[in-house]
Amino acid sequence: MTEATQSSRPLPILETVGVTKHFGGGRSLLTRSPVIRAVDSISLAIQPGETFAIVGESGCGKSTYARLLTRLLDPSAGTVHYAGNDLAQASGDEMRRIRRELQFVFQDPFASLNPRMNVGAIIGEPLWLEGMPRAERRERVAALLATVGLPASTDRYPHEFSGGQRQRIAIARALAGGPKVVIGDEPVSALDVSVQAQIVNLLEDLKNQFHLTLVIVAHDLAVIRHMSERVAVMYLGEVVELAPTDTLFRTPLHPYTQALLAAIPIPSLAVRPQKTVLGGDVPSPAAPPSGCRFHTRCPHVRPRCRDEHPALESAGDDRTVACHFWRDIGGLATPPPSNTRSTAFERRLEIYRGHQTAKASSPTSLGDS
Amino acid sequence: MPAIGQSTSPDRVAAEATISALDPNRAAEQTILSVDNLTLRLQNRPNGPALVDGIGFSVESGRTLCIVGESGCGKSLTALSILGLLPPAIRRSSGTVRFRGVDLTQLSERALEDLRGNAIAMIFQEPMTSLNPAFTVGNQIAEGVMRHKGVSWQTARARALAMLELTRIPAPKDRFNAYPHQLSGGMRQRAMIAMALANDPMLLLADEPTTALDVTIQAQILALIAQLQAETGTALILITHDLGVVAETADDVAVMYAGEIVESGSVADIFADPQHPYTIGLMGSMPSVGPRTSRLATIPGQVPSANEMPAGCRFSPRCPLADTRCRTMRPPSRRFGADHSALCWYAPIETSETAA
Repeated sequence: MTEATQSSRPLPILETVGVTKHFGGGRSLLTRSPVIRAVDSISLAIQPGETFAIVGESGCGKSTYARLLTRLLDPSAGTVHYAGNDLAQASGDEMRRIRRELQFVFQDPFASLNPRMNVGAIIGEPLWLEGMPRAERRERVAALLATVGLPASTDRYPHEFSGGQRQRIAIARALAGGPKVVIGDEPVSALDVSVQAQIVNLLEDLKNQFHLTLVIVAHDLAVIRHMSERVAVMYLGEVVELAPTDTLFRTPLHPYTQALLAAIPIPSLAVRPQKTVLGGDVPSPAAPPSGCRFHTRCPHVRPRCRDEHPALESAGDDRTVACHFWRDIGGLATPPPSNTRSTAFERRLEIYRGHQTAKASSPTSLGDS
Repeated sequence: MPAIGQSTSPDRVAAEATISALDPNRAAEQTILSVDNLTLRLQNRPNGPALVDGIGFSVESGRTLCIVGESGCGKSLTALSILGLLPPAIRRSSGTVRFRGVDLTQLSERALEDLRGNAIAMIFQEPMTSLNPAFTVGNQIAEGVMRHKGVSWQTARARALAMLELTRIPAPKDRFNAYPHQLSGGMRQRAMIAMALANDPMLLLADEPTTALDVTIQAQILALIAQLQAETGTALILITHDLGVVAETADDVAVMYAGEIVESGSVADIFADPQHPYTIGLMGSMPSVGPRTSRLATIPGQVPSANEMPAGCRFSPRCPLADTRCRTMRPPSRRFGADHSALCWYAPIETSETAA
């Protein structure tokens, strides 16, 4: 981030400066394991109260970056600041306090909940660590369960719940400490579409209710478009484009962002586009390409891209892009067609929603569980 | 380039001969597969709940049928039952699966083995678990060719290499000798497609073929499947949960919920004129890449388990429009056009609205 953006905004709640994470590189007797450059010098500032999304394909380093933000991993270089505190300098006590405010929701609710603890113990554990007395804790857990739309049965175990309900449990646990920031690493991607919509809506409600800052790591661009205010697009450990969500989806500047948007299958018949499909695979982060890391797949590649690494530069409107030629190719992209729905569908969806609202307010409601 | 596009290829003639031998009375129709009244139950509970309940659909040569639904709706079981690959705990209690007029449910295991990977091929969701880690990719593809075509190992290997080239896998000669773990997810799925198409199948079943892949790789694989299908005229049944994939690939759509096809029609019918409340809720709960308009619609609750299947409409516990009749009586199949129908008491819901 440049100084200009820092001075024009309030103090960022989370900020990374040149944060880098390399894995491997260890030596054994004769060999040396390759260095995986998972995250390479990312500088970002996340503002309080915003929903910030990090998008990219598998292996781009987005999950590693999310873990660096909460010091679940220690960076190889660079710093992470939470509300002005350098996480690397924080003592054990300070870190425990910070973690209460900085919570994480993992992708797979089948792996992230301890199967031998019941729901009351899972959600109550952070409160117990705070030293909250038992009776008070029980009340608080019941309130948290109600907040996330689950029945108040604290003696059940994770296996008794469906995927969507488990993700609600994980969210309730994240809320227990009274967080200011919730970081979700693909929080809805393991869920079915209809359940995914429930969790997306729940996260939005909780954000408004508790004035949270949300950081959402995802690969699903439609979910990101729906939820977030700003998006960082990652490719091979680097941020290649950062922009407000609407701007990014309307006029993607980086050729990788353009390719990502063009690849989304659109659930609408208005257009069955002849899409230009991006060729090749993501190269290995153990041996990233020289120059611009995207040059091996870029449809607009020129000689300069192979040698010279493009820096993130300002492209106006609060956005930055890392491409030598974004001015030339930015306009070339056809924006993704908006999801045009038929009038018959819109009319019926209105009726559907109308009945749903009526049912939710009636006493025989089954609830949104 | 192998001659997989021609109906006169020796492979296809051999396959047709197999089928003709099975049923001399078969009509020379375009319908490749037709499934009727298929019901699947647990082996040890013959009177228990139906996991798949009386479904029927058909697919014609060169066309794509998308079966769409969420986890547990029975879409994968349906695909496995076509090939006679149901797990031992599950049994077909009624229904026919006619492949070019031949009822596959009446065939011996040996006859089915001759069809699998030959006239009917399948691509699974997770290429890592469906490829054998102990053999090279090339040998696995060649094995299927040798088994079904009775050709020499050299011919089979040449065919396997040609198929890898056809799927535009980078450096096919190197990949031929690679083990599955040495390939990326996208390349493994290409190898699976090469294997599935190596014997010129007349019917290809693809169960969530791109779900495990990144979006740019998914676009590559879908484009590849569509192109190969156009060249070979293979009938395709694509199983997916992604309505975006449906809109981009399907000719016909069957929406499954809790073991039933709740709505079916052409892709235009389903997207322009969705009738079943589940279809409507499912479409409304998908976030859009267009500008945000409102909160997502939701379908409250979750799919009922087989043991607690409601007596009436299976969607009634989650349906905002459901009333007592829906909860107690099975809904009728209502028709809205030549091929468009939905299982619902209230469809079209706007007319019921005014009546209510």
